[in-house]
Amino acid sequence: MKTGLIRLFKSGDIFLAMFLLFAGYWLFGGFNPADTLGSSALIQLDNSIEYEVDLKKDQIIDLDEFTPPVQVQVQNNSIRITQNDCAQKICIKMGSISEPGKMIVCVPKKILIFMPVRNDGRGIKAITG
Amino acid sequence: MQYEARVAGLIVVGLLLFVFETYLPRPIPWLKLGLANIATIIALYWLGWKAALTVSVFRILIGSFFVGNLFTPGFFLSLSGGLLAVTAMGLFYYLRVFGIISVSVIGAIFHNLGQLLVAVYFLFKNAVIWYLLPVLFLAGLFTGIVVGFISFYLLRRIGADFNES
Repeated sequence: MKTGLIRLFKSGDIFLAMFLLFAGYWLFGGFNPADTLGSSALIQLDNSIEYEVDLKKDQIIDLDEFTPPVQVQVQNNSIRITQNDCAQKICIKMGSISEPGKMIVCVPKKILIFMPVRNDGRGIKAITG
Repeated sequence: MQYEARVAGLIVVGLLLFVFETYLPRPIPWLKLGLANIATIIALYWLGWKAALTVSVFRILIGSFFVGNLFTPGFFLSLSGGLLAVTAMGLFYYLRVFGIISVSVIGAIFHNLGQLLVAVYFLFKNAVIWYLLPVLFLAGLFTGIVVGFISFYLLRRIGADFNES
């Protein structure tokens, strides 16, 4: 069924490009999270918020729900995972977060660390706990 | 038989690209280029949508088995992303008005969207994950263009660049 060459670009691409441009504008313009609900981070384990962490206080938290415990460090108003025995250690490589809307995710252990966000009418309501 | 052999060959290519990518440096640790999608796009343009679906699903199944995360949350993220990507790419391909770059970009964006949907509604059940959407959107745009170009030149190289109106 030889009907024609595969083309890098076709006429419909312009419509897709325009749509993606608008989508990008909407995403980056409307998805800016509002200010935090205070300088705290929430740690969600297996779909429930288990810890509310004060980021003003430097500390090390061991999540004893895991064996060996996952270690979380709070330093200079930011939070990060420092020890985790998961395979790819992506959560450790994600580094520290200190801004609303940022998060650290460990998929294998279903750990989610995030800064709570207030809904200001533009962004999404993103606090569950 | 030739069809089956080609599909099997593309599954192997997808797996090799999947492994190769693990050795590449990642500027953003949780973002992958999605090189394995090259095999899916070649299957789509060369052998059709069913072949692309087969390549995608078997690549994810065997790849997950190799890295030891079969039926773990990570596996379901990959599977949901892969299924949504191959469905969206098939749709855009059969509309016949989009070039291969657009098809690839759509695949990459929908791959990321599929992963986000599973993460938000099944894995973490927390809408805060949606805040990853802008970054994933931008990443999909970039990786989709790169993967589209590579697929295009590989399709020409193997002489499969004819099956399109």
